[in-house]
Amino acid sequence: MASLTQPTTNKSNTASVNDLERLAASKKSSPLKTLAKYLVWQIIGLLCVEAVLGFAGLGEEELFAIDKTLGMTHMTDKSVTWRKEGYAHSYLNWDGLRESAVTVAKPVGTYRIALLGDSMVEGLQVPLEETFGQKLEKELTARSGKKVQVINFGTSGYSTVQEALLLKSKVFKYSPDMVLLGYDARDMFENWSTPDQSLANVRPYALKLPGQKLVIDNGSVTSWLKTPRAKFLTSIGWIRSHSRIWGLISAAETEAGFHNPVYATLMALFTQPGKTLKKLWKDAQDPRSWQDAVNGVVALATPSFKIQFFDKPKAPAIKDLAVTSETGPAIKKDLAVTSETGPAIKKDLAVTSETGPAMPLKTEKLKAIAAAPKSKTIEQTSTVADPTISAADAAANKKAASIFLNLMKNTLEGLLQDMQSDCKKHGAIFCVQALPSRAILSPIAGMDATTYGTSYEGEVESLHDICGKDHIPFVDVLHPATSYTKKEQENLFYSAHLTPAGHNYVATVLEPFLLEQIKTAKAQALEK
Amino acid sequence: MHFCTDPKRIFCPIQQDKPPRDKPRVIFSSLQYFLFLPFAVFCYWQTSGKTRQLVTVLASYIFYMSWLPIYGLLLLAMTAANYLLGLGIENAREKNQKKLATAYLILGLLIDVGVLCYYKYFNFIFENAVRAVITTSTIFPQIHLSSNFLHLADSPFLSVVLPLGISFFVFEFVHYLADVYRGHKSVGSFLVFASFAAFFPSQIAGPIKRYQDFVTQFANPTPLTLPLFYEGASLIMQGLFKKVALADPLGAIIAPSFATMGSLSMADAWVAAAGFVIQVYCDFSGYTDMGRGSALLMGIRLPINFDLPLLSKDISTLWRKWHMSLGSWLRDYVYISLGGSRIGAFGQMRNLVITMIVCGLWHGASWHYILWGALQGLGMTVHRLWCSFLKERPTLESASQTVLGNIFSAVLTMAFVCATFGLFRSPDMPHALNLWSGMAGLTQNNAAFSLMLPLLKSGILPILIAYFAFWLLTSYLRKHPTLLDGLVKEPGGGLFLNPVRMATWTAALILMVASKPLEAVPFVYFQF
Repeated sequence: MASLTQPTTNKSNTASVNDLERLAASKKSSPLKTLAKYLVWQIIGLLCVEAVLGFAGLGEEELFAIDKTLGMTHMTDKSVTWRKEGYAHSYLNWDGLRESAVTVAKPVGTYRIALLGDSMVEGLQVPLEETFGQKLEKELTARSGKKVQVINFGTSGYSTVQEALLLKSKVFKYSPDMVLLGYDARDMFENWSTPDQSLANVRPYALKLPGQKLVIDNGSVTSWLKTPRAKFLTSIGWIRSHSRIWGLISAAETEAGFHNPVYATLMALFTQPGKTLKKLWKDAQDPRSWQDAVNGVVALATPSFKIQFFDKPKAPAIKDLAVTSETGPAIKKDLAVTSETGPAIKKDLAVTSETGPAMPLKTEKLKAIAAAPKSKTIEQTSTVADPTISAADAAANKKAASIFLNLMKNTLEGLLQDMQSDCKKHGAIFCVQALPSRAILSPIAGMDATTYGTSYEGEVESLHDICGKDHIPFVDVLHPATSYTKKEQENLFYSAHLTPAGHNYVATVLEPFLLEQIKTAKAQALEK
Repeated sequence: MHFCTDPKRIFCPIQQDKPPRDKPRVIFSSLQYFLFLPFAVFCYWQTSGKTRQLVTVLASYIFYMSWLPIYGLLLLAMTAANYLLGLGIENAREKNQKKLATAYLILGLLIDVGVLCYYKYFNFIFENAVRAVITTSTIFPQIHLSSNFLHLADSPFLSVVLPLGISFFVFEFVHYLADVYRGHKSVGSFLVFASFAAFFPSQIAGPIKRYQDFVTQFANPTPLTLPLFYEGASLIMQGLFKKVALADPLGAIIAPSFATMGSLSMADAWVAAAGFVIQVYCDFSGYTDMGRGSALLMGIRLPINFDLPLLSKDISTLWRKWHMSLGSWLRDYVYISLGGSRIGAFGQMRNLVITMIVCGLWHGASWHYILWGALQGLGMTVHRLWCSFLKERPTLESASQTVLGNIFSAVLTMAFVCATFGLFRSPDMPHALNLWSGMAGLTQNNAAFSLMLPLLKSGILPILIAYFAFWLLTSYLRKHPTLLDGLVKEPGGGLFLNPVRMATWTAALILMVASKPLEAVPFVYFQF
């Protein structure tokens, strides 16, 4: 209250009296009224920010809705602007599809192809017209003489089991004449993955033991739904589907948050305040946790600036300038990145989210491990030689890995057989394609491209064998690109997903195969 | 500046020196600063008199030495030298020993300017000297350069790391000595003088203070009332927003255009140049805002540095409104010392060009800065000639002052600024020429507008427009009484801020996070 101590003239005396009166008056208004005023203005501010973000296309990368059976599906009536790789606007319609004009009822004389797969098929990084599905639609309509319609049911992060379940619950509604499943790196391992913080990793399990029937179990989904995080996400469902500010938070979580202890604490505080506060109080007694906390805060908040001096030429910097998330190796080598951002990064996640056993175990124990939270033993299943593990352990690990691999192959076969018979029942042809993968065609230096002793090429080989055995039409979209030049191979991918050139390539490889299938179907129809 | 005339490439004179150590650990837009500042401000107000002076000096040195501790000694040494010389000059002046006073002044200038030249220009001078020698030796093969000379050229001793803020504090020392010589009173207390020299809010990037103002305010700083706190905090928030949400993303987007030697489309070149102008304005004015806001929290009002320069109608006005503290320094200590405008039209123009060349050199040791400065001087000269030309043609003069005329002038000024600042930003002359040929539309092929995608992807334009609209709104509200006065001008109740202001801060913080570039890219940072 400086005005009271400084010498004042008459004028400022009146002024200060007025000030006092005003201050007194403001104090009279209740604290509730003041709080309400702050809240109202905060909401107005947030709405303005939402508008600006809407124009800027920021924060529009949230696209998963929680689903009891599948774990997650596309949100409906949602604008999505993908900026992480590529740049494209999409709109997911009332049924979560990018093709807005598609009707459930199949128009007469139309040949419908349904595409199943994960983010490689989904292709959110490129505009809809540039996806291989739409390119195929155009070409096939022109070349086959039939009106062909391609509907893209690809969803980021999907495993084969989710694709099988989606087929049953949604795809057959659209009466497809052909279902084309896109197999991507590590899909078979995703059929056995434990959920973690990210909604994208919540999946049902599938297992087919030798000589047994295929078992699909969504127990992992239902138990995840009971976790505090799931309850939190469910409760803010409206915000998740409408708010771009939430979209930013969600993207930040994905990029750095999940494994940052400070972020984890903040989220826990938000979802389980009582329990978290108790734990924090206990931790506060330990001085080491203060050091960790400070480190975490600093790591979270320090911006990643690099200084460039005006008067020093930028020769080294030019090389750095060329590294963007589009073309360069993953600047983010974090474990926190979700499975749809690339095979190599997926591998890290695979190590933590999959429960490959360290020792050979009976099937019951296998299931028990699957249900248990991730443990240290998971790290030991890495096929990279670890000097701290003895030779005997390493051999045992290798054996366990190969047992697990065979189980996963068996499960994959079971799923494909299941989908094939489903399609037969609904009068559709079931085909499989092996998608191209950056891990083989343009690998990121220094990253291990194998899981459980097999590379993606090995997976494709197994897939080929399975399809051959079960008479499933199969097309390999990986190998034609192996004969391309390095530059051409690089052009096919952003940091993990297909560029427009990549989609073009896939369409080109698939076209003759699909034409063949359509012609066969036409001939068969005529025979009937 | 890098060249290599040795065909065997056994050595390259003046290698790109070992990269200077990264960013200073406490720059304004880092979390560390927001932990440091409240603590420093708290200590500042809790103490008084000599203790407070000590606190200021300590805080400033901690801030400075967080980068390279050894340069704190440099600052201390120069502070001591200038302090003693200042006392000496005053002493000599009072005793009418003009020659001694002049001697002290010259000694001071030699030390100050000498140190600045050493750190800033040694590489440049040496490089060019070596280049001259080598060129001579290639022209006259009789001259053999000894291998010792060649090895000397390559010595790591000769690559100096520029101390942070050296251009600013050296200029402040020169101003101090010159003013004391001209009759002003020197600073008696070493602590006060050290505070002036090292004052952390203005240490790294100005504004260039005047000691008379500073010392008066420092002795009796404005008490930290709530309105002053809001003003300071708001300035800091505004500066942070301009830097983080506007300048940094823009810098990331346009950086490739300056780094490339490929042909630029006209759109690319102009967008890059204009983008740089906006970037440097937001960056520098943002940084100044943060500095001024921090100083306000300590009760000291630093001079403003920017007064809407980009809306200027001519280049002379622009330089009166851009980096005002440097402009006034150059006017007082270079322009006027050269004779100013008192020596006739031609002399005046010569002085103008020289002053602007000094301005260019101040920014860095490179030919393109010198050229930039010369161009600014030429531009101002042309403007003066144009003004005197107009005076004799009243009809033309009144035409130029209509709305259309003003708009045309502003656009022309902006175009000149874009072109010359494009030169400024380019790493060297070849890149600048590449940029200029792009701006002039002289590119061979029809290069695509490659900046459009990054611009759209970053979402920077809506944020920029939103900020501009917000600024227009607040300027209007500030100058004209409206119905909203009650809401926006009240200081708020008790400890809490005005709810509207708080809402704008929330919005600003969210937008700062939203606009963070997705990739790690070099940013422009002033290290002078």
